[in-house]
Amino acid sequence: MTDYEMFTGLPTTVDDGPALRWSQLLVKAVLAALVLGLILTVILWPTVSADVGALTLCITFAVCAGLMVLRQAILAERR
Amino acid sequence: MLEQGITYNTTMGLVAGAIMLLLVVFARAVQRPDRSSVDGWGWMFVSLGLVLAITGTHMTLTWPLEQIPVEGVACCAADNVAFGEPAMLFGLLVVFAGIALIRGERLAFERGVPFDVVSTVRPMLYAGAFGGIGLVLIGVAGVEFGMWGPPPPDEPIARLMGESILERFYVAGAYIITGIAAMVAPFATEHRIVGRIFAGATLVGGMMWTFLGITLFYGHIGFFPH
Repeated sequence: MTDYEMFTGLPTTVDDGPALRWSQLLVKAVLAALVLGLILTVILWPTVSADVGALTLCITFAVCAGLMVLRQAILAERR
Repeated sequence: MLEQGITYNTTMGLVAGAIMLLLVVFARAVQRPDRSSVDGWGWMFVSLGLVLAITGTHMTLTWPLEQIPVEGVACCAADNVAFGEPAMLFGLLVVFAGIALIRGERLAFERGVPFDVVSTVRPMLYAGAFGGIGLVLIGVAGVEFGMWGPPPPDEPIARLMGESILERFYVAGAYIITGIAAMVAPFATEHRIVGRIFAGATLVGGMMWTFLGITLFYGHIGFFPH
């Protein structure tokens, strides 16, 4: 029988306590990024250009998606 | 047929990014001792893999992007190779990895033995590692032969970069990082550092494809003739 080294799927191991704290923090970060991104989009779209506004919106959604992936990966289906 | 031809590579990029990002979540979720069935994950991989497999196979066999003539841009015949072939290969591997997960768990349950996820999907990971070598070479070739830039002046968002080589290196970086993730994936469970390289490359590569896919949904729609 060969023992495999534990593969955590993330470059670090996260215990239950920190995982729950990080998950709550990341949700707040997503909400903050969403609000900030939408405000910036509304401002930049007419004042600078539609391209810059759309790019800001794309960055906002990408950042939110990335943070939520990190949250779910850290949580790893913990309840 | 529209002047710009088929531009469904938007969905291909987004799905490729989604598969990579969800793979990170899956790798974390599946090792929980009290985890539930992987059926849902399996069907998710089947459905996303089918999108890549179908579009990639169509692109590989019919070269739909060849019909897009853009003045002064190294586009787009070679994009059929760069987008279509990896999408076909990895799409099919993801589909069958999903089916293997579903079947493997069911068989393990029937036999009353623990379900070994790693050994179930590792054959697909071995095959994907060969595809990873191809991805790295696509990235290198894209930079060498100017495949991804500069963008056409009437393509929204992308035109912000003008003559910059940023887009070229971004797309090449996405290919190379994805290729590295695919190459180390079969060995990720055997060594902690290799596992970290795999997790980091999958996360970063997935984010790069996802961001690119999101921007292209806006850019490609605005690129069509009005």
